[in-house]
Amino acid sequence: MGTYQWVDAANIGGLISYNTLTAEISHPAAKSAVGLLQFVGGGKRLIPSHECLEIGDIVLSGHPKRENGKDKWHPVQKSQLRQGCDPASCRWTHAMLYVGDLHVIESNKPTKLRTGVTLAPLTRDSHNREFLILRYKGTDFVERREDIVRYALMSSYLAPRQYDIGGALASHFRWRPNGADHSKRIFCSEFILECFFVQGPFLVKEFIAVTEGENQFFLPADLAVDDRFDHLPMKYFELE
Amino acid sequence: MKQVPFAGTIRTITRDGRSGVVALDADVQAAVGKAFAVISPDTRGRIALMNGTGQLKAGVHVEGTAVDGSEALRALSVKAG
Repeated sequence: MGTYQWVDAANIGGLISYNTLTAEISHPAAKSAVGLLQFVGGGKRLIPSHECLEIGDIVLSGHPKRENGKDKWHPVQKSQLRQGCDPASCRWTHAMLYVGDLHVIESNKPTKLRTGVTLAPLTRDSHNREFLILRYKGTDFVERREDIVRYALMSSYLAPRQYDIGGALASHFRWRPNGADHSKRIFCSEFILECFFVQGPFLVKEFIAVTEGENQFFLPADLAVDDRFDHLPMKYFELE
Repeated sequence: MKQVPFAGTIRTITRDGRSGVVALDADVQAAVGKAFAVISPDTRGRIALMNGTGQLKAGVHVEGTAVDGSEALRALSVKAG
């Protein structure tokens, strides 16, 4: 593996042992997180820092740039560019909602064994994805964020939904064949949009636009450019 | 948190029919400085509005109480009116 460009000494907060991790987060969560942790360049196992994450944070992920500084090809990135999203933000190709204990809930890509709305450890992709943390500004978000996460985890309507591969692909052509009908399927950023809208209420105008608009999409790049969110870099610990 | 009365017309509903956007009446907008209120599954009185269909219906005029949010009001209770 080449140089690990998006992680360096500046964002590694030191060493952490497995025992310390299980004292900080629950034992099952630590087991799940470490179980999927893979080695990165230099033989290190880097674990995202739970200290820099708060419940309700949105975590965007994307492939790190190549060593020549160019972006790797990704279909979602191309779709976002065609949608006219900010080019610098188009590198963020997936959005997840942080629920605590190094786990996220997401509408997962269909390349995984279990697709649709799932709970997953953040460490699953941390060896080959760069992360950006988005935190909604304002005190009312602090009051609502646990309700947003509760809705994402517990809603009997959201949980059974599959990944909306049709919607994600259709965004490339700026044409959603069945309007805004995602009653049984939803893709990552629109899953987060719905959670923020219903339990916020946040991102209200965006929800109206997607629901009422013929061919409107809400993509990870739309979150990345939204100035209602603070942008925070991901920090890491090296697992002993 | 201070509660405020609101009134308006249901404009958009989620696909499950349990949540929706209320476009506030002009006088309410002027009073509260927001254009929308949001009905969520936590809003009391929502079931009665579904009329046995399990779905809120766009175009119905409603009123209720809400708390202010940064982007819209969050409805605490709602009824037809």
